Amino acid sequence: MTEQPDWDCRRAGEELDAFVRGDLPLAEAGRMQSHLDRCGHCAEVARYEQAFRDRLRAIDTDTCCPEALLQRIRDLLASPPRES
Amino acid sequence: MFSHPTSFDDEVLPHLDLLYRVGLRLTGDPAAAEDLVQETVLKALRAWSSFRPGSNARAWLVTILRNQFINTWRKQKRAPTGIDPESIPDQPDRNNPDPEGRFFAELVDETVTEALDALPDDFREVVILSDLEGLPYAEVAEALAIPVGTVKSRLFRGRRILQGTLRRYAEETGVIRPREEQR
Ligand SMILES: [Zn+2]
Repeated sequence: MTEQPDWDCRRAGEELDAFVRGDLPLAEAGRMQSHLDRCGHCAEVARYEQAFRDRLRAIDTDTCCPEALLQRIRDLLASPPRES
Repeated sequence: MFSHPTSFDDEVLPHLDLLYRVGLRLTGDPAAAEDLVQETVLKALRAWSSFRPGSNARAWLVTILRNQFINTWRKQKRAPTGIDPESIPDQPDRNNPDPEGRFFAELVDETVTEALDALPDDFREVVILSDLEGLPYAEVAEALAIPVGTVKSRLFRGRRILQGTLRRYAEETGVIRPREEQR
């Protein structure tokens, strides 16, 4: 251990979710990356969380508002019901 | 005109896909999701004068959709899930034979959505908004009217429950093989 990691494992663990989401500010993302480069344990956890999130995000990527519903909403907006 | 420089259509229509997906995840039923979205748009239209221009329309709409869901749907269905949130481990299991989570990619949608449906509501809605839809913490907090810290802790625990469910399923169905057989 000649070099001191920017972040310890605890700090990295706290920010891991934000990192995986791409929500960490650039500077902090850099510090996280340098921790992951040095720490096999956190790097493995990060890959696990990333694989999990990728799978969740893939569930509904192709699902959009059905055309019939869009049409009903357009009709609704064209002649909105009177306020009660 | 001065109070509303953007139109209702401009603010609301771009979010219909998201509203439908969230509605679908919450109700688990396409027809119910359609009704939910339509009612949400109607409610939003009536409340439009209270929408502050420049504020976050997406979070505002999700709030309306969720309230609508709670008032009409939630009381009908969903039995308690029997998961004790306090019993969730803080860390992924270190004996996991697939520590990089490759098995997640091999699970089919039905498996994942079933596990998601089994989550307690508090966790489920946070996972849906944050993980599936990718909303930032602050926006989820705004939509659900809870602090950001609560969003983070619910997300953390919701993910742990889901990961545990999916991993057990993967082991039972042989997607994950015991360590000895690997290599
Ligand atoms: Zn570490």
